Amino acid sequence: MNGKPVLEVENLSVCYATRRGLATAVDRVSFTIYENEVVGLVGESGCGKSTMANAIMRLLGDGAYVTGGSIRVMGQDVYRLKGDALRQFRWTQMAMVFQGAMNVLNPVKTVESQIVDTLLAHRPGMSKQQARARAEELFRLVRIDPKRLQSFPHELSGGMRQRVVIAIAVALEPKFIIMDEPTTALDVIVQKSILEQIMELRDRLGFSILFISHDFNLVQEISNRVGVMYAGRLVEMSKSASDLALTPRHPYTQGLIRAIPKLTSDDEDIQGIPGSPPSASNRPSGCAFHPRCPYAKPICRTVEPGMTTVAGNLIECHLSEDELRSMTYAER
Amino acid sequence: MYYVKKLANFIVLVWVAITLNFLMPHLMPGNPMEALVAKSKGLISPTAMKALELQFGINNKPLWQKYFDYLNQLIHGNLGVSIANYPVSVKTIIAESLPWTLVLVGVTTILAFMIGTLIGMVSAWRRNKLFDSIMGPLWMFLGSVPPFWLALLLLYYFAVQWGWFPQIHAYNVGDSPSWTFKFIGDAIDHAVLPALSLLITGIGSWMLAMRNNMIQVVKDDYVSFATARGLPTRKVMMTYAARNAILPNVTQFAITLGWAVGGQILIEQIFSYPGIGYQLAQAVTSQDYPLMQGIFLIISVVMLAANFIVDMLYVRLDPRARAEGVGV
Repeated sequence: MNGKPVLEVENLSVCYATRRGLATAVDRVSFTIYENEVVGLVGESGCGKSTMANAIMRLLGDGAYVTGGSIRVMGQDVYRLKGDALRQFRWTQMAMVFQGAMNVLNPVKTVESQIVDTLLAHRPGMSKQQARARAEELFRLVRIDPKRLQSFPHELSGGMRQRVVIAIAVALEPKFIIMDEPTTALDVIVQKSILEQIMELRDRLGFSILFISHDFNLVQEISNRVGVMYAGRLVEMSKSASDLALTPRHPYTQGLIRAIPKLTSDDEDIQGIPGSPPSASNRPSGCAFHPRCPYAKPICRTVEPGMTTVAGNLIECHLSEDELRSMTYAER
Repeated sequence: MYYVKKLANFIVLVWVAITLNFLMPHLMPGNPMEALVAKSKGLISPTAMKALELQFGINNKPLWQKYFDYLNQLIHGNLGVSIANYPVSVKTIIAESLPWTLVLVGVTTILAFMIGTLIGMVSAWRRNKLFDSIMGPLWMFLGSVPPFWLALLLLYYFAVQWGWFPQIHAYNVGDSPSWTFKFIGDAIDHAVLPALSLLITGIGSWMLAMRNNMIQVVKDDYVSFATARGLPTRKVMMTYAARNAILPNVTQFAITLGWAVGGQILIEQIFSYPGIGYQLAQAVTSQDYPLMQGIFLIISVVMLAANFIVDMLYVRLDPRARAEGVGV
């Protein structure tokens, strides 16, 4: 399935400047997303997933800096773009559906004018009428009555607003879209219809997605591959999102899976992961997960684990393949 | 619905203002007649006294009757007769002084708002850059200078010492107001110094307010989303960030503009500028109650009208105001 890479992240580090020095939010992360691929990225709040999304879009706010590594989208190093080239690159090559889409639309402009703004910013030859016609087309694509184009954001429901944002994301038909918790603020039913909408559009328009979420089940459902982030590190990148039961996994990932209640099982024993994730400014030595890991060995406290390939998955852990496998089966 | 509610609100408030304006002098001890008698040191004959009492409406009618008389006079545009400038009517005095104040204070208020908002917008957009670090302290300093002090300074140097601008009044004494180029040029010449003292000290607060709002708005998701979409920077700054950041200031602007009618007592006093503030100060020193009452009435009604107009405009600026019934 590996075609052309659309996103190549290499050794990416992002730091926040705080009063107590630098806090590393993303720590030497590498991964690649190929054409037509949906890659899920999961992790707890504060693990660096959203920071990474913002780093890719070059939207890091005050005090956050890329301190190492590179990001290439469609082969273009994003951080080598300057001025108007960067402006043009955004949205034509990469788009992003923001976390909490409730507040991403300008409250004082109609949704139509916000779509038109987006189109005209990249298609200087387009007339206002053409842009309006395209906006209508986009609304039909995401199944909203074009009459709603004249609405202000506060007049639309949460689900509709998210559909508008998705329509804006695909407006210029980019080949790569980041979706940062696109359904988090929505209720389950709307969530489901939005997800279906996203997958339908993907089939139709053919773009790759980096799907960021804290919901393991959701990511598993739609992704070709899944990455797991913990304390700024990408601790695991799976070959495929399925086969969860059979594949040995990073102890943290196992913890995440165990924390999900299963409707089909009588077993009501849901286990959370003890402790809480470390803050970005105060990372534990060695493997950052060791204070919470039930299988931690002495070496985990002192030495940072390297990436190893275990059954086709990339895993960053000191435990051997056999150890991981045996504890995976011990769970069942 | 929104408009009807606001209109009803406005009418009720105007009625309250008029009623308070009527009641206040009646709650005070003494009456203008006594002041007049004291001033004339017993030189008024009893018949003249009787005539004046009639003219000033001093009689033994019950309060409610006086109230209706007052309303009746108001409807006919009669605000009474000034004591200090007897027999000139209050209406005439206000009609002669209000335009001067409206132009002087109104124009400077609008200019200060526009300039301050623009500087604040750019400052916030380029936060902690060179422009911001110069403009911030500069206008904050100038904004903390008392306008009357700056006025005295300007008057001393530019008018008295160097004689670049006239020292007093709104036009050459002896001329009568007319729409000739000469007169208008002359009036502008007279307005420069008072306008500058108001403008220079007025910009700071607008700049600061806009900068603070804008710094908050810039962090909002819709601004990042606009940037992410590759909209031109200018567009993001103006129609996404500033357009939202300006909203809280609009209300403040209306109130300030309303105050313009009240005049700038100190500034007008310093330049002997014949505006409403100057007249009010004169009225207070000469205990000219009818004039004070008339000026207060105009001030309160215009303030309310300014707020009402902004309420109407606000829904155009912020579509959420109508739905939520919030706003000004």
